[in-house]
Amino acid sequence: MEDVTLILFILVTIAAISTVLVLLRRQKVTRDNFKTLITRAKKQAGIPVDRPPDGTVEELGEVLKLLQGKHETLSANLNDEREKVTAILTTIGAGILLLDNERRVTMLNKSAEKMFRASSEAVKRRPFITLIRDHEMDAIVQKCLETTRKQMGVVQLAGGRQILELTATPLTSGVLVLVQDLTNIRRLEKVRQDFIANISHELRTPITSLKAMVETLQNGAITDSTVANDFLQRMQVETDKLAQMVNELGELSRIESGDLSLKLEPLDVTGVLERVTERLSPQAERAHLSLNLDISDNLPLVTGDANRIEQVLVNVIHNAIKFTPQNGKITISTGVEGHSVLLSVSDTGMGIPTDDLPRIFERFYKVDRARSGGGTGLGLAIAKHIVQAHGGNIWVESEEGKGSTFTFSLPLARSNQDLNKA
Amino acid sequence: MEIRTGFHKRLREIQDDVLVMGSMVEKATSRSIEALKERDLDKAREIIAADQKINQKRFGIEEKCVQLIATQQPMASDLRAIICVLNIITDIERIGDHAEGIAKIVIMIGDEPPLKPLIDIPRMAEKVNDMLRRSLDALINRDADTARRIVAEDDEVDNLYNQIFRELLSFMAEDPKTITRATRLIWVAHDLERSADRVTNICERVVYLVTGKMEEIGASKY
Repeated sequence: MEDVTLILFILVTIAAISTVLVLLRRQKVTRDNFKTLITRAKKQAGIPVDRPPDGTVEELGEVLKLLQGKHETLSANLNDEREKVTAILTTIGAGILLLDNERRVTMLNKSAEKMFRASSEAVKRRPFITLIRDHEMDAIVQKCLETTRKQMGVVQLAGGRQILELTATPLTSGVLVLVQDLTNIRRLEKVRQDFIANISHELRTPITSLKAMVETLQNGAITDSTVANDFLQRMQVETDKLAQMVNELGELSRIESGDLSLKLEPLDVTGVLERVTERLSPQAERAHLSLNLDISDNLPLVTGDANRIEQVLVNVIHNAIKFTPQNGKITISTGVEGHSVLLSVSDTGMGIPTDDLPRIFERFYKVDRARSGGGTGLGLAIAKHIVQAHGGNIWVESEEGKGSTFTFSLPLARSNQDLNKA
Repeated sequence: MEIRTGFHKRLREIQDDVLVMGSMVEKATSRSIEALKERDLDKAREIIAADQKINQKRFGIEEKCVQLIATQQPMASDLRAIICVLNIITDIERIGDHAEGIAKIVIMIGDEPPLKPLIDIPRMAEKVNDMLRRSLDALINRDADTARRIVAEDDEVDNLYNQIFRELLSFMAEDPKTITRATRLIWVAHDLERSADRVTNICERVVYLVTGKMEEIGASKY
């Protein structure tokens, strides 16, 4: 009996010791695993491994918490970056589009939405061509995808008015398209080119005359006093023309740079109109034109600078005289509309072609260079600036072959406005 | 289902090609009028040369369509879609030919002095381009209502044509020396009027595609 008990006792003891050994071994393995996990986790998170880990569950828990913290920071940073990029894309003037490898639109910014009159929602995942409807622009993007090189091109849209510059840059998957509207830049370049060509042409004519006359005098004509006097007179006329041109250029430059000093005061335009009519009557007579004044009674006072308003009238009437054939009629009239007094100059002249009407107030714009014979093309531009500086507007109605009417408005003087309100 | 997805993807690609062709023809029309206004013979020659590319584009699309029919053997509305594209590209190509015709007239005119400022003819051209663009929109969006509306607008183009014709006729009656120039301008207007008719053909096709019925929209006035 005692032998069986002894054997059992030994067996149980052995089993117990084995179990304990196995458990201890297990614990060590787990600890080792934890140590590896912790070291790896710290390495990945960039947390410095300053001391060898103990391998406890608590330690693992701490590391996990640190990892979570890092993740939250990264998320916050990512959101910040995303907000910055969105802000840039929304406010930038150029159109930006993202296309995938099959030229379908995946993103477009606000400027692109405006440019192509589409909404982000409507064009998502749709082919580029359905948005821009321009085969040249589509071809640039296609070339970019094929060559995986940056492609650039300038495209004139159908209709001929808009000019866009496209830059397509290949991405790891897809294309980034940048669209810039060059229409205004090109238009201004053309205005500048016209300006320079114009000045050069305008200066050449009087200078050529002067040169010719000087040479003739030098070659001996100076000894003939009649001829000499005649030439001197003509040289005076040409020099005057040059001086006027230089003055007008300087004037326009000053006005455009905002240096227009107006002496605004309550003013009765009747006086100005009468003065101008008197001043220009001789010129009108020489051109065999009748200059008529048709002033309404009881015209209210305006706020204005008498000299400047006179300048506007002179410029407009000069044009009327220039472009109205003999026996024609020029009428200056007045009116009141809303809070303004209107002054109109009507002529029975050759009128302005419809195509030219929107550009008539541009610097140096001349409708028909061949026929306008001299003058800088600045008169109306100057008039427009002065009128606008007064807070008024200037516009023209015209029919080719029948005549034109230039009208500008001047705001009523303060007290009048109050009176009208009462 | 795999096969059908491939079909629709290829059909969409073909439609994109139709839009590309539409853009080529829009620009040809618009540039031909610019060349007319500016007496730009170089531009006119470019347009004439570019017409080849338009024809090539048309044949490219045609081939893709035939391939698609051969490989996928589509039925019913899918088949109708491809056939409509085949017909529409013919009309678009003819519009391109009319633009080329205008370019040829520009070269014929050379540097003759202009008879009168061009106002109605450019207006006609803009109208034609606008109608073409919207008709292709209707194709993509399967929009029969827009297609029908565009057909009604052909009347506007016809009215402009009659206006131009009458005006040029009076020029010729007053001064026989203007006959050559006036006649050429009438040809230009006629090219544009024919282009607008082509657009109405396209619209009729779109309606057919959507409804399955061939409607003769906009009965003739005569």
